[in-house]
Amino acid sequence: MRDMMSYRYHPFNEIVELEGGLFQLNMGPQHPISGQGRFIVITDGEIVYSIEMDIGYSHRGIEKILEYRNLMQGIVPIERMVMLDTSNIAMGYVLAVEKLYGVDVPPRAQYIRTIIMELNRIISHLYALGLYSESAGWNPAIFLWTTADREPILDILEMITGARWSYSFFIPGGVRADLPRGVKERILTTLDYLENRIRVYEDSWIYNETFRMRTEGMGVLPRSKAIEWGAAGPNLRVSGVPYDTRKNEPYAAYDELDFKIVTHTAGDSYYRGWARVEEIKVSIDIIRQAIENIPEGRIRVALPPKPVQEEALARVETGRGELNVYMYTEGRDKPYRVKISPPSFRNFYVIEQLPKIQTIRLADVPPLIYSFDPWFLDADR
Amino acid sequence: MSNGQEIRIKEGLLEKLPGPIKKLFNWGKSYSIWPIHYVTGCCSPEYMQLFGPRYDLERWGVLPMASARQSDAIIFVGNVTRKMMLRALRLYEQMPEPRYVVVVGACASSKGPFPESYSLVRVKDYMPVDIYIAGCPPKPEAQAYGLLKLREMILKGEK
Amino acid sequence: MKPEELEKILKEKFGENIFSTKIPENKRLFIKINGDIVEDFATFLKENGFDMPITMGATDFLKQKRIEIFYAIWSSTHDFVVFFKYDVPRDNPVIKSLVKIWSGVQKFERETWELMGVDIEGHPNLKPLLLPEDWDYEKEGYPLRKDFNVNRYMSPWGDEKQ
Repeated sequence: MRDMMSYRYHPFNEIVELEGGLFQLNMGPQHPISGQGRFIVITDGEIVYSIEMDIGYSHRGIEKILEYRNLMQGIVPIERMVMLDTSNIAMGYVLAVEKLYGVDVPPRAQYIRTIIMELNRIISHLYALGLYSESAGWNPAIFLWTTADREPILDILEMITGARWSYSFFIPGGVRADLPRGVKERILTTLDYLENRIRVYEDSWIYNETFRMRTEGMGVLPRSKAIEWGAAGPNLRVSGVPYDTRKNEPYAAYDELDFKIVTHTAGDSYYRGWARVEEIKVSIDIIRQAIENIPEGRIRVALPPKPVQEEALARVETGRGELNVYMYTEGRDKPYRVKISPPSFRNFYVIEQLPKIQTIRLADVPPLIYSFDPWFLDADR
Repeated sequence: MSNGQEIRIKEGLLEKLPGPIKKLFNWGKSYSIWPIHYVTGCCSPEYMQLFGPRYDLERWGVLPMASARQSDAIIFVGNVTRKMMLRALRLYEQMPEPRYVVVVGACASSKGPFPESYSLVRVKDYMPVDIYIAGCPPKPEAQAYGLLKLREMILKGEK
Repeated sequence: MKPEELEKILKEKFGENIFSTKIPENKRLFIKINGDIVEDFATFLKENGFDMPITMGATDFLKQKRIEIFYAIWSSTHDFVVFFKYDVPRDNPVIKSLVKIWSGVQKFERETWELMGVDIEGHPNLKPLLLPEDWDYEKEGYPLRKDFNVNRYMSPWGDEKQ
């Protein structure tokens, strides 16, 4: 084991010439379109032979820090894991604690949680579409349009919780405060505005002939390989596996609402972009149903003094895939071990294995990588 | 690489010019601060909203530049790890003078909500800092206020 | 197939090598097994339709002098999760890699090697993933272990040097 520890990457290779006419190129680590990470690409100028990931530039050590915080204080580090999708990740931690203590959360709190999580999912998908279009060459129109469309949604969230990005609103046992007066009309006007904008994105981008020619048939992920390599999120659903945590293992108020899952069998980059636009439409539908049928009642409940189980595994659906939180406790106020398994960590393995089963050209590498929607902050924790 | 040593700025031709010409140069420098594309941590969504259509920062002359050799400022948005600081020092040394360092957020100033982390560092241990902007994350109005304060500092000649 | 039926089949086939099982709620099966039969157990699960790995990790029990390794596998045909774990002695932790059975655990095993210090045999690509390149394993230790000293890294107040 000691001799394996002495192997290191040399950090500052610019372009290295290997034998056989091959080159090794670096994409990153300053700014590979977004985030911090390095893709090491070995190519001969036209065809790519291997893509390798170098991550760890945003590693904060959240799993170790959660062992020093008690159950209420643990919300603050965990929601800063990825700022664009906070509610879904905080829901994973809160759900694991509620499974350990056997708490029955009141229904009004579940509906409020569902509304906030679906609003965050729209924000996350808008950002993913902006990056995907920027890497395929539509620079910077769609990215700035989606940045502008996030503003009305952030205004609603500021009205409910008091902050734009870091809410600390979900706690084990319920939510922190009730909905204010006037928020229902505000939400309905914003949803009408968003439906018009989605129509503009579809006409000018998704159903555009140039975009279809660029991305259709590129980077096809077959169904058996998607299961064996462990893909997550819309990448898995578009390859023919109809798994969505909101339908298979319902949490919050999802078992009382009526919605459909977006699936397809093609598995190429074009349909991965198409699936995200369709999921925004599904989210708008869910928010409309939830805001009409919200019940009255309490919004939070106290935790019992002792836990009922020793360990629990919670799964929630974030914008990029499903997040798994495993928690082990010994009965004290701080958890003994928390293991967070993010979806982007699994998607990076799929990107590394794709050049082995297909021919990929050098100019197709950015749209291929960003069609999987990988975030470096998510994978590094 | 400088690990805790002081980085000294050499006195060039600009310091020896007479008063009014120096004021003209300062006016020109302050109205076009070009930072590097350098987005590190979870304060980055607010940074992107800052360059969006609602809080538009380009009307004050701030344009993000991709190459380090043609930029004026480096803005650390969010947490910086030990692995990334090695590369950030290389970027800082590639920038020509005059150059400015702005630190945004609680994580880059003093590790923020992760004080027991084994892989985060503080920026001030590695390079001299001009402006600190506090918040977790700071609102776009607060970040714009910080950049305007940098502009005032350049106009008065304190930098 | 339901989790209860799978529990019966596993107890018939492996007998004494299964130490305990638990079904706390819908769609979860927690099993603790003997560390010697891990490869046969994993092959048997794969033949019965458990094909997608979702997580893998390790827990450090300092007072009981053991490290516990866990795997979680989901089945696309039966639609529930099997979570199995086994013990390794803490003084010399060496485990066998399951990359030939489920290909997707490769990155998780690399992370466990680096942060917990567990040696893995048969892994094709064992290189550091998340920690910086100049991390000294003998002086600074492995971060996720319980005897790792965190006070060295606490940020000082104000203008003090670290």
